[in-house]
Amino acid sequence: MNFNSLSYIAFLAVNLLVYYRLPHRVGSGLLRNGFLLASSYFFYMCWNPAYALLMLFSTAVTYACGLLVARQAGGQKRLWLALSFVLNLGILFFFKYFNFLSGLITRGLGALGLGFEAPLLDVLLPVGISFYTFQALGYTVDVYRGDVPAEGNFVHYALFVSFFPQLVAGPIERSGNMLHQIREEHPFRRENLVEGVLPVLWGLFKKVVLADNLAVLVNAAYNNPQGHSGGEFMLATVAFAVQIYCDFSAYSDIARGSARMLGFRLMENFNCPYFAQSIQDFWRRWHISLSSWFRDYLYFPLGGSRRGKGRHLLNLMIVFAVSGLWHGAALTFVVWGLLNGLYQVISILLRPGKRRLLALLHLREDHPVLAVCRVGITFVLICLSWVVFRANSLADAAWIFGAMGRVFTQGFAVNLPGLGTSVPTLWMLGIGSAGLLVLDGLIHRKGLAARINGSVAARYAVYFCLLAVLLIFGSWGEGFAPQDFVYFQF
Amino acid sequence: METKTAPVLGQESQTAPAPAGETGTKADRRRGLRQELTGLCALLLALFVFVWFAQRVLTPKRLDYGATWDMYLKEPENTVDALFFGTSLAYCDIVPAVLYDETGVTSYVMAGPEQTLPVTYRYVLESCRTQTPRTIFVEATYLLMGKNNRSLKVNLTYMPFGENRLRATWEEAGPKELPGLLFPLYAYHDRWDDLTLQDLRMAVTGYEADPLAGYTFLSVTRPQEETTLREFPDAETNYGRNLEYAGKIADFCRENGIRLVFFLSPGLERVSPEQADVLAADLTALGADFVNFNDDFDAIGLDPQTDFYDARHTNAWGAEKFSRYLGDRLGDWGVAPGGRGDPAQWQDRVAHFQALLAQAAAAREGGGAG
Repeated sequence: MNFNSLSYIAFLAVNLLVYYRLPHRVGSGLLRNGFLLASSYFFYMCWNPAYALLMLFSTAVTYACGLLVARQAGGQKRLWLALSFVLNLGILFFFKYFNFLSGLITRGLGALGLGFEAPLLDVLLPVGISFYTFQALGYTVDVYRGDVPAEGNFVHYALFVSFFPQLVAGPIERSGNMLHQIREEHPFRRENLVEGVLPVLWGLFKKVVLADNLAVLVNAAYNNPQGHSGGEFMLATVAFAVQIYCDFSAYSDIARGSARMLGFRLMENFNCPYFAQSIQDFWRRWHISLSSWFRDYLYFPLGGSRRGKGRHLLNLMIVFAVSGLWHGAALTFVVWGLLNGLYQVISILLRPGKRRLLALLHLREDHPVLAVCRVGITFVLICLSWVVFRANSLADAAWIFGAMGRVFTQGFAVNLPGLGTSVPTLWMLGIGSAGLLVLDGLIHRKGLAARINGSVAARYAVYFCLLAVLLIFGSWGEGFAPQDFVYFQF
Repeated sequence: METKTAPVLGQESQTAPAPAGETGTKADRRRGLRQELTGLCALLLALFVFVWFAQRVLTPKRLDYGATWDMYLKEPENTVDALFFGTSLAYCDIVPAVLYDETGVTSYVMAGPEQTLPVTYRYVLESCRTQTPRTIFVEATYLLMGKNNRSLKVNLTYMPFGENRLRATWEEAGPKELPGLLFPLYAYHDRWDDLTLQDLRMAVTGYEADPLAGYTFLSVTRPQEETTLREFPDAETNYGRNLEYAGKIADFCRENGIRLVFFLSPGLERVSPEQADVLAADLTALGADFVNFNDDFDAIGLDPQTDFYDARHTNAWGAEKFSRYLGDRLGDWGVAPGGRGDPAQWQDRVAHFQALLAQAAAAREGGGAG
């Protein structure tokens, strides 16, 4: 059940109707939360019913370990934490990384002249496993650190892990933000619905109008690297940068909007990432729930920047390598992560020289022209890393970089029909993407959403505009299949 | 890697105004709710108007090749003496302008591509809402065919929204076609990048009456060598249902005092004599007339070398010959000029067809058309 389907809209409507009809006070919210829990499992089972058992197992393990950690059972607080990590990461490894590792071993031994074939498993990757596993593990660590008390009510805890709006593609919620909301009463309030509808429509616009239309162009280029020119790859890579942002942030918006309608507030996951002035800044604005997870549960425990410069740089590389691996079991993702880590390492190493240069040129650090240049350079660097992220293999990525390099000697040529698109479509996507950036900026910097929601006329006018654009330009209807969100595969 | 907090969608800023009517007294809340309902109604109304107009703009314009409903509805009411139904074997082979020129009978071809009898039945019912023909002609070849979903979409998309269209959609459309037939924007919204000025103009001004009265002018000539029998692989499966709807057409005609004639258009790729005999027997048993114009091929004067677009369809010259022959025989089925219709309009149609024919002949002689 994709967010961009009528079945999800119907599912959400039923949830809202039933949820607010159920009395909160019965069983201290157990009735309502039990209903949401059942809905969430139904939602998850729409992909593959069997994998709900995995989520249930992960939930049971982290729930029990949380209680055992809090009670310091057997004086082995650390042991229960480790058990939670081993079991959860074990499942994640089995389903997500086993075949990847087998493939690496086979290729490694093959390179050494040994014809050994490591076994491969015939399993499908459960949707959203990386998201709920990290959320559940985060909870165990929070309890271990004493940041939150262990949740004693299994229904409440299970809902924390499986809450349907953010179950399959985040945001990866923190126990400190969610558990108390789950226990609280959420009476029906019109403003909750009002605040929820706009992000849902905005998310649908980003996904159905921009991301899915851009995907046609991107897929045409990246799924047939030898058949396209460097100019086409440049266009496709910029398109992919917009596509993946629209796709992923759309999911987050719809998740946040859906949750808001039910009275919950999920954490923000994006904050105008392509306005970032450095790679470090980009990672403060992109997939914030994952970046902050790695910061709190990996980077800081590794020592962060407190153990000397060398260790600091190493920690950054470790975090980004793991982040890459989190995204997918493929070398392309690992290299993508390492490339982002490398950007940061180089940025840190160049920082003193950069300061000296600015002083020499009598330029202020916050000079507007410099800011624009920094945004541009950061965007180009991020786009280069997206090449590795989107390419189907490292060999493809190398080919694409080569083709893009040849643009400087052979010129920029683009054959739009070969990319499965047309001039009017490209104009629509260009205008839509530019509008998206401007509106995103206004939403995050000027509180545009709140202003729109403050006026009935403005709100309904915006609903109308978004729906009208979606109806005409959206990737829906006859001949179109609802596209999965890109981050579902992670 | 610290996070910033900024007001984002779904997380309102502290300074933002609350949604109207959320603070204050019960009266404020009631006013807020009223505003909300007004806004919702306005949104639904605006969306309805938008979707209606967008569908008018985006649905491909239908000016020939059958299912030309918008043009048919421009025909002044109760001015047509005879109506022709069926498939391309009707709209490519019968020229109402020639029939008028020959006999003074006003007629119209309201056929659709690859149309089977259940849809033809709905076409008959819908057409007779605005016209009162004395005789209805139905091309009978597609009694032997099953439905084609792509053609079904064309046949039904252009029908006026109403009981006949909805019933035909419900009875004939598969799950893939159903949403697009009920909500054409579902099928055609992605045409926005193909739009022309004509699409916009016609969405505003609408269609004009068809100068060819439902006929599709085919100027290409493809010489045909021999007569063959057309294969109907699904005939056994579909014939019963098609015949059932032929019966419904017959019932409708009987109830409304309309004479019903089933016919087979002349062609080189034909219904076999055995199948034609079965059709004749079954259709006359319904109380209708039946005529196989393949039997009159030589009498019509059709030349396989010059008068055919392909083995099944006549081109404009063949259609003219067939229509003149048909005009001579209309009296056999009680069709006589009713003095209905605007003579000036019909003379224009005659002149228009002759002009097209002359233009096509010039192009053919100059080697411009096949």
